[in-house]
Amino acid sequence: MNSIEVKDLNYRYTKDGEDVLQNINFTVAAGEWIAIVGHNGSGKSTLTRNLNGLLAPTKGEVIIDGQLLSEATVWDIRRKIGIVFQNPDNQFVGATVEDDVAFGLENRQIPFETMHERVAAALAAVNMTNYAQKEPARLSGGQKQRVALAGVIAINPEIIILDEATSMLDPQGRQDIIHIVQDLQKQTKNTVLSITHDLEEAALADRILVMEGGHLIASGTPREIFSQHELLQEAGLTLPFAMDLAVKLNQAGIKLPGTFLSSKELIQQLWTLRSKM
Amino acid sequence: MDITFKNVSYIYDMNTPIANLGLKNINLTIQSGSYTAIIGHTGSGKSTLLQHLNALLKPSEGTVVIGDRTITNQTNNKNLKPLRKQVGIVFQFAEHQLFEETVGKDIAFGPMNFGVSESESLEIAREMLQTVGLEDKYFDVSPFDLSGGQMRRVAIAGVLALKPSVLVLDEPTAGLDPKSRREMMTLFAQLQKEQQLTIILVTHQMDDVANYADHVIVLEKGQVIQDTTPKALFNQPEFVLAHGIGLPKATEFAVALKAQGFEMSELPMTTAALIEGLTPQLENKGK
Ligand SMILES: Nc1ncnc2c1ncn2[C@@H]1O[C@H](COP(=O)(O)OP(=O)(O)OP(=O)(O)O)[C@@H](O)[C@H]1O
Ligand SMILES: Nc1ncnc2c1ncn2[C@@H]1O[C@H](COP(=O)(O)OP(=O)(O)OP(=O)(O)O)[C@@H](O)[C@H]1O
Ligand SMILES: [Mg+2]
Ligand SMILES: [Mg+2]
Repeated sequence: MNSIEVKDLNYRYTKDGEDVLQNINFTVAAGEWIAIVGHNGSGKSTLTRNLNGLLAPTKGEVIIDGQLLSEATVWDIRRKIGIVFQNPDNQFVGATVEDDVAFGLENRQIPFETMHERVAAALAAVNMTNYAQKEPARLSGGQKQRVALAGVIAINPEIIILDEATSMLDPQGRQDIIHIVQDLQKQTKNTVLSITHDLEEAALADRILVMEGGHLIASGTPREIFSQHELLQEAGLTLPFAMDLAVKLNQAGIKLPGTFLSSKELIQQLWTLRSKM
Repeated sequence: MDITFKNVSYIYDMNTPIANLGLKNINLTIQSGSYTAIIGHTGSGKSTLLQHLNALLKPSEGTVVIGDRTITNQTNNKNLKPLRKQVGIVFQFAEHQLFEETVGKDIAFGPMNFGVSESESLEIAREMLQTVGLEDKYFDVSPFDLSGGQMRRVAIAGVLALKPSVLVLDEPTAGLDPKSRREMMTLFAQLQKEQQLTIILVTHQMDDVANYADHVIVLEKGQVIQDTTPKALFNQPEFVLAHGIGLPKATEFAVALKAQGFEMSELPMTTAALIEGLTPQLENKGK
């Protein structure tokens, strides 16, 4: 079954303003990991806010889990979706980190005992156990992002939307978070939509959606997307490191067959090449 | 303007039950006109350190010397205006920096506050908007009706409009798309060269440290654990990885190749250097 279906979606913020989303169509299967990429202002955050009814489409339909998003279904649908917003400060409601992470669970009427366990587990997963009693506003940038993520991990919703959720984490922290969400997804088959400007991260997705000027201009596997040079140009994207290196090695006369999304694949190939000589 | 920290410690909420260590006995010097990167784990004290650069935070202990200004915990809040004109900070959550009703007024606020006429300030604002890659149509829009990356650009424009001599950047490219990220980093480097700006950059992008900085300071738990050049730092991959700070992508790749038996006498920091080191090992063998 499709987890998300978007049909002819248009959105404008003000009556006489321009459409910042234009004629968007796509579907996401349950359990897919989708990366959404594109220029600043291309409409990525606006799109995700249309998926959980924070914004109502000017035109078109959003169908979540087979249910048409409308005033009647919005609360039901919101329960299925957990969003980590671009700016974690817009998300915090609790006086302490712990309360904050518990908030989403309280809203979902989870029994107290279970709630306690889940909050503790989520904070442990993002390595913030020691900060449980702190005030979210008094954390460092990366710590705030970790707490915001814990809030969603604790809920474990069917659909997880990450809006640049790791943009302020150190490289190790970024990888840790991706692994946490990947593990979660393996166990409970969540659908993940991750908005990111980190192309190494996008390369890990099952599929990439490319936004440009309010349009969805491409959808495909990372391999498909990253081999379309004109598309990359148009959307202001660069290549992940390994692909870029392979292209430059080719230019330097080292011929390598295929495309290499990860350093691991490329190193393997270079090793093979070297041992053949 | 040289900047010196002498035995600086900072404790959040000192003398309360929630007291929390921010910085511990920091000693460092940042030379005028240099490009310094400050790196370290989440929560290591980077943003806390930056806020000492314009006396937004004052040391609990020790002194911060910025040009001819000395800041201690006794410094009062009067007469900080000249310092704040010279030291421009782009904060980590740049959107909190925005407050005016239009983008244009927001960018113009700084110059006006420092005595430039309204019309001239708005002119500077228009110019800066373009400099950070935003179309003119955003000039009269509310800054709160912008996308995350657009807000960040407005905040950067607002700081550049002050024409500071020290530019302090707390993860300035977080939230920018890949192309803009490159353009913005190029812009900062160009300003440093052309106007002899001192740049202090907090970043988690080790490629930016390798490509732009001439000086790097590594923080851990509020303390300085390295004060060196990027080249020297990234040639100690064991140290770097043990402290979880990450390597430039080319360096990381080279370390992995080395483990597979490739030769790397000096670890490269850029793709170009990596290719230079790699091609002889792939071409000439067996010939
Ligand atoms: N509250 C708002 N009111 C009016 N216009 C808005 C509002 N929020 C965003 N916009 C505009 O809508 C367009 C899309 O913004 P959106 O935030 O969806 O972009 P984005 O792709 O998420 O960008 P970024 O990568 O910078 O976060 C932009 O042109 C932006 O200026
Ligand atoms: N306003 C505050 N009140 C109390 N403690 C704070 C406050 N801001 C930060 N801290 C704490 O001080 C320490 C250093 O925080 P700081 O924000 O300087 O880290 P950082 O290196 O900038 O991290 P990041 O990379 O996550 O932004 C952290 O342990 C943090 O929890
Ligand atoms: Mg956005
Ligand atoms: Mg910080």
